[in-house]
Amino acid sequence: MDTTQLLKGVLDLTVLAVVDGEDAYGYDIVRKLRDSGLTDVGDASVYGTLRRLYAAGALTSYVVPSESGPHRKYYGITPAGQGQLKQQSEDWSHFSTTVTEILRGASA
Amino acid sequence: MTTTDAEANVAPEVRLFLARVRRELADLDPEVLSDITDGLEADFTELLEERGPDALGDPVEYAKELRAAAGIPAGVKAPRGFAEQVDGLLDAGHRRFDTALAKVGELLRTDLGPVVAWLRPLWWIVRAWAAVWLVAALFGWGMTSAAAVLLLVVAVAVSMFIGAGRVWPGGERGTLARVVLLGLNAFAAFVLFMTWANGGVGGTDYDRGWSDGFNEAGGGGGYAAPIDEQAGIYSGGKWVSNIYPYDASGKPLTGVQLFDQDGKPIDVVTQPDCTSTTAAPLPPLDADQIDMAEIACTDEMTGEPLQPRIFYPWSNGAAQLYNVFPLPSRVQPDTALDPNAFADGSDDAPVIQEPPLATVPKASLPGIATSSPSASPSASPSASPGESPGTADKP
Repeated sequence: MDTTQLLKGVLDLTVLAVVDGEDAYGYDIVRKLRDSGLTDVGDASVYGTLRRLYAAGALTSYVVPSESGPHRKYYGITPAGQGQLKQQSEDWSHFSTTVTEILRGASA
Repeated sequence: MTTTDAEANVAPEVRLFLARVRRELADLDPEVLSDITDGLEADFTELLEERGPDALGDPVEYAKELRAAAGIPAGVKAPRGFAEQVDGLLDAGHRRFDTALAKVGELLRTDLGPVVAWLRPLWWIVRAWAAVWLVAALFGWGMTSAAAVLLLVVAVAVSMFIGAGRVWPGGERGTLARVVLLGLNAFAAFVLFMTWANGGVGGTDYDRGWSDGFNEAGGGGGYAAPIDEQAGIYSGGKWVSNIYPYDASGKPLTGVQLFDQDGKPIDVVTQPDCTSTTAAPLPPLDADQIDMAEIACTDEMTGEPLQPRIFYPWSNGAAQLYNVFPLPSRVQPDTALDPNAFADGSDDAPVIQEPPLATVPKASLPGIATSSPSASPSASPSASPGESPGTADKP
C-alpha cells in the first residue's frame, strides 16, 4: 500500500507532536519522523507543512545564528498549535480505532 | 534571504540546489519566499553530510512538493524571458542526464552517483590541461617547458575552484555564466578531441619530449623524427632499420639512393635501434642530468638503460638524406645526432656496418641487361653483362 497518501493526512499531526516536546529545526524534524518509522516522508513535504502551520499560527519560528555555518531556523509550538495537536490527536485515535475495528471485523 | 559571513561554508551543491528551488518559487511574494526557504542552507548541509549529495534530489520536484505541502497554489508564471528559457533548457538537460544516469545505473545494478562525483574533479583537471595545451600550442612551448608546467598548476587550481563554485561564477550561477561555462567546457572537450585525433595524447608526449631533446641538442637541425605506427619500412612485419643493396652479380653496394614509384625518397625511420646486440649499457646516470625521455632503449630483462644505435644520414650538401643505403650508424649514449660526428680524425665516427651477407647469388632476367655495376670500382669485370672471363683479353 502506498503510504504517501496516508502520510498526507497525518503530517500536520506528527509534525506538531515532534515540535511539542522541544523546539526543533526542519531537518531535525525530518530525521525524527524518519527515525520513528515514517521512512517515506519527503523532506519538502515536512518543510511545506512547517510553513503552513506557521502561517496558520500553530508554530513560531526563530533563527539561531551559527559561528561556523549558516544560521538555523527553529520551530516551536504555540498555544494554538497545542490546541490543534490535542484536537487532531483525539480525531486520529478515534479514526484509527474505528479503522482497526472494521479490519478486525472483516478478518473475523 | 539573510547573507551571513558563514555562508561561504555552504557546499556549492547546496547553494546550486537552493538557487534552483528559489527560481521555481520565483512567483511568490519575496517575504513568503524568504520565509519558506530561510534556514535551508544549514539543513541541507546537514542532510548532505548524512545522506550524501544524491539525497537532495531534483529541485523542480522539491519545489512542487514544497508548494503542495505548504498549500501554495502552483505558480502562474509570467511569460518567461529569454534568460529564463535558456535556464529552463539547461535545467531540463541536467534532469535528462540525471535520469539517463539513473537508468544506466539500474541496468548495471550500481549507483553511478559516486562515479560521477569522482569524475567531476578529474574533468576539472583535464580541461585545465586542455587550456594550457592550447596556450602552449599558440606560443610554441612544449608541454614539458617550465612555463607550461607553471601555467598548468595555476590552471588546475582555477579550474578546481570554478568547478567547486568557490570563485566565479559561484554557486548561484546566472544564466550568462552558465552558458559561458557550458561553452568553455564544450570547447575544452573539442580541444581534447582534436589533440587525441592528432595523436596528441599519450604516445606523442613521449615523442615530443624525445624530439625536444633532439632539437635542443642542436643535432637534428630542426628535424623532428616522424614516428608513428605507419612510418618507416617493414619487412615481414618487422621494422627495417637499414638496407643493404647488392648488385646483380651478388656484390654489396654502397651509396644506393632509393625512390618509390612517385619519386619520393624511401626513408627508413631514423629512430634508435634497440635490437642491436652491440648496444652497450649506458654509463652510470646522474638522474638530475638525464631526462628520462632521452633514454631510448632499455634492457628487456633488467630494465637498465642501453645505448641506442643511432643512424646518421647521407648528405647532398643541402639536405640530410635518409634514403641512401646502407646508412652509417654508431652506438651512442643519447638519441641526438652529433653534427661533428664525421669530423676528421674522429675515432667514433658513424660507420657503415659490415653487410649481413658478404655476397649473394647472382641474379638475372632474360633479355634485361643489368645496369652498370662496372661504374663501381669494386665491381669485378666478370660481373659485366655479356662478358665472360677471357673475352677482355681477346686481341
